[in-house]
Amino acid sequence: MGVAPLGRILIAVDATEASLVAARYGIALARTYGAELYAVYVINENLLQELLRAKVFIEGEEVDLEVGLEEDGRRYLSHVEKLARAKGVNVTTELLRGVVHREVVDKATQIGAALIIIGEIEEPLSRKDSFYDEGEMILRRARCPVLIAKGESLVDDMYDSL
Amino acid sequence: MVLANVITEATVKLDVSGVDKWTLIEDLVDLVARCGRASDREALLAAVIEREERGSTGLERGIAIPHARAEGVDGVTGALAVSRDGIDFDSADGGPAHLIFLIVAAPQESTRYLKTLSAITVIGKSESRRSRLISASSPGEVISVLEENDEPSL
Repeated sequence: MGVAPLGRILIAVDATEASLVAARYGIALARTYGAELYAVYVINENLLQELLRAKVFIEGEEVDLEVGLEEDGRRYLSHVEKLARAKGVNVTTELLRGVVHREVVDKATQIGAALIIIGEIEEPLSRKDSFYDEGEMILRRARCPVLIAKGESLVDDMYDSL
Repeated sequence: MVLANVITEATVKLDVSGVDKWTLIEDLVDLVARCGRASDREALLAAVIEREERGSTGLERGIAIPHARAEGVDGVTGALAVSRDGIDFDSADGGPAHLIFLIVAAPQESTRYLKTLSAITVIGKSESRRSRLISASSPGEVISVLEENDEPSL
């Protein structure tokens, strides 16, 4: 019996080493199964607004930081492109903004992704921790399988062996 | 853990009292610089003061988060001053600040900076954590409270 192709894989990248592990795993899967690879980075506008409402930021401060977040996003996506190119894999990257889990899930639906790959979810400070919520919400809201790329050294071995 | 390596035992200052917020900010910047996490102490202090002058970082519930991004900072780093008596920080609710978190970052560390500031606000929402931080008797105890999870994970 043949194995169904993975089709399209979406990697959710954020500014963490864990999401780069997810990227390396996605590249390995895409190369192995001939899947099309996509990677997105979402600027967490929701959190910027939350910190503005909490008065941590004053008016205008969040705008400066948003520029920095955009630079972070471009840098990480560019790194993912480099990782993919090194293994002969094409990746389509996109910088999005909004509520992280919503953007990731919507993008997966839009491209008809067969799989979303995310990095290991950090231990939450609390269930009120927004970053924790985003990882959890992708798991809950996705309409396709979601894979959490755990075990950095295993993933590195897989990526390096390509 | 979000706060790991941001605030360490060496950058916790307990039993703070009798200082104004500007002096305290300078003390916290000195603490970060002395730990080797900021190469340009003057530039960092200027950035934090400039931000504070634009609007107080004193929030509600006894929390203050003076913050800035500046060249010469090693990643995202910070210091914490604990004051049982409280410091006048021109806070949003008019009350004194008991937990003053200095959070500083290199300009290219925007995401981790945002994440760290968010983590502090999460801690600030927990009355239990706030009171345990304020009554902590050692920097080690402070770090334990900062790094614990107050809810079970998945």
